[in-house]
Amino acid sequence: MNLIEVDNLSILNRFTGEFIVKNLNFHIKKHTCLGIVGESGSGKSMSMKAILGLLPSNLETTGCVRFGTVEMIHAEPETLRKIRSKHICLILQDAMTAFDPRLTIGKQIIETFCENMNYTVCEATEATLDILKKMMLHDPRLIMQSYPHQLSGGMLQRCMIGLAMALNPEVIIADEPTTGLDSINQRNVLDEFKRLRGEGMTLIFISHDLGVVRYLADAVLVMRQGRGIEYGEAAQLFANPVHPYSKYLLDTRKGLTKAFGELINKGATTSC
Amino acid sequence: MQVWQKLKQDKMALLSLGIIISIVVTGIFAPFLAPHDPLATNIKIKFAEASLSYPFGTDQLGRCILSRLIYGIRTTVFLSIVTMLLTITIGVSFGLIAGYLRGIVGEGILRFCDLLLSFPSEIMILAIVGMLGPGIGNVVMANIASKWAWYTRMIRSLVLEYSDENYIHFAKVAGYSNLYILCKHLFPAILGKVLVLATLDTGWVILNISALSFLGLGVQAPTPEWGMMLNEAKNIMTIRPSLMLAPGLAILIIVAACNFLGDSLRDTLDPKHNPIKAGMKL
Amino acid sequence: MMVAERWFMRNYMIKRIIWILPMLVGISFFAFVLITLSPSDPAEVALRVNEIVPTPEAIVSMREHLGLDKPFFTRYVEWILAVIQGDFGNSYVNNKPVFQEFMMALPATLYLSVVALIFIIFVSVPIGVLCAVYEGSIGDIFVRAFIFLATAMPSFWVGLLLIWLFSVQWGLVPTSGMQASNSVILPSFILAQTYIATYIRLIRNNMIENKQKNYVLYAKARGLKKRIIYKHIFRNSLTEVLTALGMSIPKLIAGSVIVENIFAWPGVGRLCVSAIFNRDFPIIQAYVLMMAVLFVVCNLIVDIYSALLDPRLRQAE
Repeated sequence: MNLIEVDNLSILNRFTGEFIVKNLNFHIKKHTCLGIVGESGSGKSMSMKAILGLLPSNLETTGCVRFGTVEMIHAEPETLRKIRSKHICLILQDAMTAFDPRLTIGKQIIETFCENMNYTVCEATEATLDILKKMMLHDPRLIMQSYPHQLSGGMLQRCMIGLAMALNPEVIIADEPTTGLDSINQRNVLDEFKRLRGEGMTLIFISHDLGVVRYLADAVLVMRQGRGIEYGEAAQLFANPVHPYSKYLLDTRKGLTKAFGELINKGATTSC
Repeated sequence: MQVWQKLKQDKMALLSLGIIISIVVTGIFAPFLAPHDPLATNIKIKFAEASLSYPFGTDQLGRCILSRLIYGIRTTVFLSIVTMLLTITIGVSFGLIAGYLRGIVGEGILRFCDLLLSFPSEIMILAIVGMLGPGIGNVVMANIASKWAWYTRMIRSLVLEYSDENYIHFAKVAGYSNLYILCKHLFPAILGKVLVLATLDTGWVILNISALSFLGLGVQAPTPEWGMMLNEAKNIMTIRPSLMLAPGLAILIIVAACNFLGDSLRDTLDPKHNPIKAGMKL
Repeated sequence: MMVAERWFMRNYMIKRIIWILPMLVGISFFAFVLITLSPSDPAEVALRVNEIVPTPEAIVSMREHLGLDKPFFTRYVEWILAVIQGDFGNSYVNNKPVFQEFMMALPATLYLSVVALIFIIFVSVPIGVLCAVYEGSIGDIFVRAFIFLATAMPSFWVGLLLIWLFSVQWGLVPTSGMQASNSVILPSFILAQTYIATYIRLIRNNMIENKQKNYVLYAKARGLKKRIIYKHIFRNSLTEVLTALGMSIPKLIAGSVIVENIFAWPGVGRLCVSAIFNRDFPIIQAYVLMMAVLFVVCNLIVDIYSALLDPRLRQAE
């Protein structure tokens, strides 16, 4: 059964008349992970924001997006808000600026719990400590009292992931969650997502990093300049890409990996 | 220049420029355009209604209001423009020196400006007018003295920003003299920004000069000046309130035009100028 | 606040306060030097104001009387020492202590400024917030046009028009003076008028700028209600507004000159203007010094509480 169905999604800039995304089509089955890949500016984040009704007013969305029985494009803002608060959780790209700089992290997470899950402050505090511990963050109490600028990108990213998980939605959309993180943090974040997937969460994973998508996705959508280039099962696509652009992406990535491998080997033989 | 091209598309900015230019031209040709001598009193026709020979009527001394308004352009507007030009000249000169030469001279100028800027401009103006006494020359000097330090700082930071550009380094390496670089490269680059600041400030200077004249500290009677005319109108408010309208509106129009032009210039010169935003504005 | 932050704040405050001292010295020096700029001889002025013929002997004796024959730095130091003890000398006009004249006039100006501040806050904050929330609506456009005009209008003109309307025509408030309880309304409103326009614009632009920020997007993505999101936006806009508000207090006090003139309000602005007409240098000097000091002190207070408000600034250095 398809949890989310996207048919002919297009995003149009009202003032310039140009299409940011044109005729995008994909479906997501329950308990699967869809990986969306493409270069920067290919419209990956925009499409997700369009589905959730988060685009600015100068952009017009057309097409049909169905989440269960709800039609998302023409839904009431209040309906969309309720969906965003409990059913589909979006994890943003830039963790450093995602939180209100004036409040401590703890207060912001507690506020989200109180609003979305109707917890009392006590319950929300407990829940916050819980997710911070689950995310392997040292000294959860200190983190709760910290301001966003005092924490690293990786820590903030994990707070966002933890929060999304704790809200127990049907779908989690993660928009480039590993961009800008160092490799150790990247690994931690990816392991979290792997665990989520193992527990049966439906995931949409956006990245321009093919290796990451390969690690996690069941199905892959390749996007370029606002259009869906290729869409299919991950294993199939990575083994035998059909479209020349997909081939190009994979070849470039393979080339990079190969060059990196050679460099490491050369270093290993010459350095000792 | 592409600035002019972009500006031409903004209808309101062109309108503002048109208004300013026509006011300035009217002031220049005042003797030909004004129907009467602005200083000629005629008690017999005081408080006359608007008529063909006296389009705006007469004031409490029988002087033609329209003529006083037109000649008032010379006092209010021209003096403000002169003030602005002098302020900019001084500010730019010191700013270029402070920014380009740095070292002791630059630091010294900067610290001095900081000290002056710690004085609020209203206080500075009152202080200088207080010391020198009322009079239009003193008011102009006071305005210049209160603003030049700000311009110096502003220009200096612009110069610092621009002198790090590669083409300046190249010119230095190629052996061009400092003065040459200052004049040929740096000055045109910062000219645009200076123009914007100047236009925006002209409105402020006009308000200041007319305010001081209103208080009686600037122009002395019977010279026609818009602020002074409002002062006179204040005294006969109960008898003839309509005298308050014309000078105030005149000030409003020219200051609004200057502000609008300054805003448009700033939007045009801003590298973040967004054609979409411009589209949304119109 | 955590321990490290408290330590940093304390250092910051001490640094700022120490830096004030050379500023104050510079200001006092400048205020003192100001008189020497005057083309007229203070002794001559003092004589003339008191309607004494300025004969050469009279000038000499007046100079001695005013202590003007001593060397420059001696006079400066004596003046500073006197000022610190509250002695600004005597007015040339009525020979009363300047400090006394000032203190008598100051409460009126403060009263005016406080009421103006109340007007500013209670008018500009709601309107600014509403404009940001309903960005692009007819009301927003109307308010922006009004703001644009308001900043171009000379305040003394608006003052005159409003006096004519409310006082002369409708007789709701007195035209001048401080006697009636409602006589403060019109003057303080006119004083507030320019600032109201500026603050509406400031709040509106600040909030709109914040609306574009990433944390607002994430808040929306989390499904938070609009009301709560606006609370966050408003709180973020607050620092800049409060900073500007803090600096406006001395500006209000200094800017009361025109309003006090129109309404014959017995405040320090009126005192200063008549001193300028009378060439009463001690009063002008005292006004300049007191106002400049007020500005510098307010600047300091504003800097400190800005740092307290914005957690990011505490770590800036």
